[in-house]
Amino acid sequence: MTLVSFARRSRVAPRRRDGLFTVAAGVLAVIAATAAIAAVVPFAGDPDAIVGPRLSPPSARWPFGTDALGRSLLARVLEGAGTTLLVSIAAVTATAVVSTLLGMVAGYCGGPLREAVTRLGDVLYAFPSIVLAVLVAAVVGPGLACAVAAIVLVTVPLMTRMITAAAASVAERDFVTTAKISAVPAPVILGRHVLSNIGGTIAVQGTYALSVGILVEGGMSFLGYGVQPPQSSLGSLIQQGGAYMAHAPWLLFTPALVLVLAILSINLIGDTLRDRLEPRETRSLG
Amino acid sequence: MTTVLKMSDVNVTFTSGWGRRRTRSRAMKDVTLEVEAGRTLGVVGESGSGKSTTGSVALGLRRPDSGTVEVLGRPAAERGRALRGRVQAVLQHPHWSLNPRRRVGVSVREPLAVAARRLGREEQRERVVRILEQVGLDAATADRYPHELSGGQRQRVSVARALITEPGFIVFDEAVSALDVSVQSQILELIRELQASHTFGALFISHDLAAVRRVADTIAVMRHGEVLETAPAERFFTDPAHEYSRRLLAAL
Repeated sequence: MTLVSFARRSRVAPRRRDGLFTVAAGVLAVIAATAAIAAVVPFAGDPDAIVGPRLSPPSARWPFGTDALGRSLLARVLEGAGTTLLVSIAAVTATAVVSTLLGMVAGYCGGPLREAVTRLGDVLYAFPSIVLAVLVAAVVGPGLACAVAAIVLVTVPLMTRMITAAAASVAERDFVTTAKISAVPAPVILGRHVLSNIGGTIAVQGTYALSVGILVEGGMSFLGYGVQPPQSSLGSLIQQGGAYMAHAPWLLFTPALVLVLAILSINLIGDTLRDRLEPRETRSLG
Repeated sequence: MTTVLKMSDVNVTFTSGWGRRRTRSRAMKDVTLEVEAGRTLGVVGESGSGKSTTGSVALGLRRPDSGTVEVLGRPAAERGRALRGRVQAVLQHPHWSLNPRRRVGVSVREPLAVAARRLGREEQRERVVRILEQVGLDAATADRYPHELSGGQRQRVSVARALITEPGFIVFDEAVSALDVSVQSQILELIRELQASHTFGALFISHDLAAVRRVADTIAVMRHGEVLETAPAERFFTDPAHEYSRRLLAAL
């Protein structure tokens, strides 16, 4: 599994991208909302209950068909999407906190500290993300915690690097220097001047990290290190569906489609956020 | 007349690279400078002459390799505690001199909040308004964001922020270089006026001899990290002693 690069630059014209943004936000909202509602009110039925014949194709009764045990795939996909989103969001929130603290201090202090943080990130970054994730699984043991830990470990180096760079460029600006001259304490400078000026970077990189997180969770579950049955996630559904690809392709393609749509939407949202929140300084002075 | 900045035999060397490719460049060679209270020392020189390094050493931002730096009678390295609010700076970029996410009034108040903690909020706000008026901005500016101001207005705000703690010593590092000529001359005029009323000593660093001429009482010429000549302004502009100074003047 390869991961989407964090720092992609899309070449779509801004106008069209605003339209795409609306579509992407809509798709993501629909996925998240139906998954959330299904978790509270199981309108699609119990994801664990055996409701019909095995491997029956999509029909009016079972809109996405049934799986190898006769469970409703719609209910399972909704539960799986919920699990995947929840795990990824929890992990990326943790990543954002760790990366922001680490990146801000490293970028502001510079010197050997920044060097150490950057090199450590490079070492982690050198491993393919799935190898790192498997390593985590070996230490933590398969399960939800394992998936969260793996996502954090994969996304922290990437996000820390971007935030370090952003913080370092803010730290060079004159308003930080004048604050230093006025003897404003360093923690206050970090909170007051640096954090407020890297908010855009945090939002954008957090969004990209979320799409990477979903991908890693999918990969972990696919390998069997993520959430354990009977609980489902998009990754585990794809893995189970793969076995029946020839007889019941809907078992593979439905969860895969939801995964692709979610990742695509999040990346598009990230691109738009980046253009809006991180405008490059093209204005001349004065 | 008291001395606000006393720099004697200051040396600063930058090193870069490793091993055989390690290079050294001396940014300051035995630099000796003095700034008197209420007076302005203009430091001129081309890019790379060490004038900005001189500024950061005077501000205590950079430790010299050797030599002594005294600001307002204390070692510059002590700026954090004893010199709080007594030393200020106006720096180069009007675009980056103010935090874009904070209202102008909040930025101007920042040094005051550190230097005079006992002052009440209301009193701090009054001081901000008073100082903004002194630099020729109206009180409403305090509620604006930096992007709503012009370059000249922003630099006036920087001056206000530097003055609000009534410092004894201010460093102007290329403070007008990014402004166009007419705005430049307004800001220089303003600095002159404020110096008369607030009596701070100033180190005015610029590559622009015409700007330095407008504000400086004494001129120091730097090249390759060395001070070539220090002279009172009148004498410097009529009868420069050093060959390089004559070339600079001829180019004016």
